[in-house]
Amino acid sequence: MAAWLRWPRFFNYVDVGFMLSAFSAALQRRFRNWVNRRIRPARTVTLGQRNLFIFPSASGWAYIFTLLLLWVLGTNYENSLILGLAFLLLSVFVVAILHTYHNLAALRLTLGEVKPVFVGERAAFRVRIQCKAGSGKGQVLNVGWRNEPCISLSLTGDEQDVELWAQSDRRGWLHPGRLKLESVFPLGILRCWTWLDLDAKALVYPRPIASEQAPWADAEGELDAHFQRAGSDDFVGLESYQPGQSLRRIAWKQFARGQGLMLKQFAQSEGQAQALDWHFFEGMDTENRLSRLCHWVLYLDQRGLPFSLALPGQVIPMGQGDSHRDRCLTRLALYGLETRSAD
Amino acid sequence: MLIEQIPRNSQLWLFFALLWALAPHTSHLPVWVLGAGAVILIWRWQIYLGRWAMPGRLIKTLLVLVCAFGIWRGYGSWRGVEPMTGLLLVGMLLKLLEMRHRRDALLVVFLGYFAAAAQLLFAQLIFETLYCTLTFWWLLTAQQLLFSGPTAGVKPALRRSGVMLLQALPVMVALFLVLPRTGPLWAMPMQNHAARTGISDSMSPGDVVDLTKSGKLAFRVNFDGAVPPPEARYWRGIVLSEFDGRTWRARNYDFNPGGRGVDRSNQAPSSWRLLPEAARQGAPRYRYQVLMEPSHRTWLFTLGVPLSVESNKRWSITIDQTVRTLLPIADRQRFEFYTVDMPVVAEQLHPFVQRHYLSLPPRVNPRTRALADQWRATGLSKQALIARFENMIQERFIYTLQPPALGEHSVDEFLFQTQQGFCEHFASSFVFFARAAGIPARVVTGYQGGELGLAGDYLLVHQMDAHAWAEVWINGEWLRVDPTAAVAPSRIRSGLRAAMQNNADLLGDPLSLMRYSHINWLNQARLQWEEVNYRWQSMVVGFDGDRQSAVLEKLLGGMEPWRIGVFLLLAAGAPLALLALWLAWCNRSEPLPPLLRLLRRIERKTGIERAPGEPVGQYFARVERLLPEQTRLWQQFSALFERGLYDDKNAEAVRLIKAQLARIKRQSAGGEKPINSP
Repeated sequence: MAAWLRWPRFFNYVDVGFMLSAFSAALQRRFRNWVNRRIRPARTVTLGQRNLFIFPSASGWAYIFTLLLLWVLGTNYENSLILGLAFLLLSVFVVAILHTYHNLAALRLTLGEVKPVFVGERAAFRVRIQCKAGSGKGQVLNVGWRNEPCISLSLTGDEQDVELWAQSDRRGWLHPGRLKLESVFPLGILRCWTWLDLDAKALVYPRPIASEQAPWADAEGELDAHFQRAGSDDFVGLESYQPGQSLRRIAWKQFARGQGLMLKQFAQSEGQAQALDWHFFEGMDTENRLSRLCHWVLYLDQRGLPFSLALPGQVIPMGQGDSHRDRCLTRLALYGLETRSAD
Repeated sequence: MLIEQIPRNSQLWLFFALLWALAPHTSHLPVWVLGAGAVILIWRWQIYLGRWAMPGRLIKTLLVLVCAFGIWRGYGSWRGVEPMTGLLLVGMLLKLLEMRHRRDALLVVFLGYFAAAAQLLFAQLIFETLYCTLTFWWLLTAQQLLFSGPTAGVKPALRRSGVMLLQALPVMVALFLVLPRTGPLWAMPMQNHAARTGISDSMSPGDVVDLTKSGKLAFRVNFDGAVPPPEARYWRGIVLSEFDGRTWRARNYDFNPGGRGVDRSNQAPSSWRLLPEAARQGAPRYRYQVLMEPSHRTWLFTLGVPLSVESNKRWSITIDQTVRTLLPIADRQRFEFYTVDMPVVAEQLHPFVQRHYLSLPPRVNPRTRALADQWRATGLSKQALIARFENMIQERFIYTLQPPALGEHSVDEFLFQTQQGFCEHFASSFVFFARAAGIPARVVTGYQGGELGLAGDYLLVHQMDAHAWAEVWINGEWLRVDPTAAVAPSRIRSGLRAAMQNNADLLGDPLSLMRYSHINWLNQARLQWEEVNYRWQSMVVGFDGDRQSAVLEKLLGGMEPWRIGVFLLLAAGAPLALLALWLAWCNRSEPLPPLLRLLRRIERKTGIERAPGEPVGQYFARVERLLPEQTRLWQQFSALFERGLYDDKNAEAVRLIKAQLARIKRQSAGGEKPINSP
């Protein structure tokens, strides 16, 4: 029996499906590594030969099949004109490669500032896409993070901002990964795409969770009465806004009435400074403690009270205002994740 | 997975493109299919307007059934070009009706490409080609609109696809020239229902007259040498040898007596008997290419008989030394011939065959028989009998396209009563007479003459050049006898139009340009148009494998793969490379304004980079802090830059900064320390 007839038996002993999937996984890994080497992280990227890939799309293969059928028709009827049409479609395909590439080439993508979010919220990454004025580039782009739905847009002017969202599920740095940008414009038969590393990351604060007890001890060891009625009813009046003050206390209703930016004043906002301490929440795990602390940081900040924050190994001294709050929240977000202090 | 919707703005354009692609097919589509198509289009239009819902399964099935019935009813078969095209178009329309997603619409576009190409199966003139190219433009635009988002306009899409088509054109030409023609991969069904045109394999009184009313082209001929004179242009087509008293018919080719002396050669030219070499010396030979218009028949027309056969055997030579194709000529085809115009030698006819060429139906035309017997009794030779007959008709007969009707004894009535007729009457009566006189004879039909094209190296043979003459077997060869020439020599020398100068109404269709050929400029225009068409036919439509090799040989000096590769690279690659270069040039980064360029220089020199968005003043303040010993210089620069940025006197500031920089350079070159060293 011929040797090649025994081949099927070979497949009995080997899990071909597994081999194939392993093979394709290896291929994908190789490709990803290659992309990693080829497209370096940078906040601003200009698209070009280095980072653009192009390949026929599924529609493109259908198009090629169509022109092959046309070729067969022309050949079998010995009809030069139909053959010519088949060649015309083929030439259009070749020209479309240049057009599809040109639609993306020389676009500049810049990642803007990313605002921190709390766990469970979606972080917004603002990406600015620019092209040379009047070049008509950037038609019908699909932009999105890997594993996130894409946004479709066309550049109308010479630049456009697009907001991409990524879901946060734990505190610390959120890395949405590489940004996919693709386009099949103009004919849909070729797909030009890139995987960009815009060095995108968003800071994710712990999820604020209210606790029954305020994390500081009174002289009597009891919670201050006014904290129990925490909420809108301790609102006492308005004061005019000064730059740098917390936006959380802005009276939007008044602003909408055209009375200018005002800050809501709460009762006891002239109250005493508080020290927030990790050790207050004995018996809780790290995340719960951080969540409680986060809540109280926001609470105090909203009321404009000065506070300090003590975490194991680090203390943020008494302070007030947006930057102080952000510093505290950042420490909470990165607690235990970073050894080196950013301050 | 996101389901891709069809952009609404693309739908209208898609309708238009499809209607455009469908329009040329309406002439051959059955009424049932046209009706169903109209229903589908109206329905789709209502869906577009949001008035009607998508059709249910029942309605779709009904439409499919109606279309299938229509095709079966209209064409009577599923095979053939028309039913195939019909099915394709029906498929396209049905898909149009039920398209929901973008990929459905894309499929409709692709089917549209096919519908456009199928148009060229039926006609390949310049007009159809231009029309088809436009269809492709519209369809490419529709395809582009499908992928252009919901707000894209038609005009920019049209422009872009037009540009792409133009850019693709040179590449297409190169591919057209170079890509090899493989020949049919498998046999395809041909047209079933096209009206056959031209000369048929039977001849009744009036048949040829009908043909002469048509100014349509029968074929074009391109001669390798000089064009033969009009008297020599007998395009031999069909031999008719069976007569039933009214109609002459071609011999049934199954009939093959197989006797000695019978020329059985219908494949190989070597077995024909031609006169000995010495006798052949004077016989004119012609080498020419015939571009046949589709006749849907199998006859080809040659000057005399072929001396060689074609390599790819599309045709063969019959027992009567006529030429027949294997398949009906359904599209314009080019044939190469090398023929000699001389009598075909048959030295001796088998008695069986001789009887065939002498046979006459019993009891018809008694007077003609009597005349033949009477003349024969005088002891005249065969040649003398023929000459006497020709003399007789020359004296008294009239050549006309409006002969009186003939009764049962058609030859008798023609010869002794009406004496007015057309070539078919003359040929028919002559052959009858010859047979009655004991001379084997047969009718030959084909064309005689042809119009010289503008360039002078080709002939246009029209249907009106149809002609009938006779061949008689004398002394071992078939001799051509044309009794019409005796009556109307001008018909032979200058063609029918000249012979019928005073009888122009007979040239049929008042719209036919042939009719106005006496108007000089119109005739020139017609001939110019014929010329363009001829070039189109021979250079583009007829660009087959043979012609391709010939052109490439001439163009490249050889057919080696490397030559073709280099040519393809140059011809197709060069336009693409130019396009790519142009696009790259469009993408070049814009030059920085002069001030920013100078700032870059300072950044490089100091090694301190400006942060993105950092104002100039702030930057120089930072530089001042980092490189404090040149404080004055930085302040100077800062002031100059600010002035340059915010002042109209930009050029002045640029000049001063440049001067300052040059001074620093001179200083550092003169041994002083460079500015960035602390």
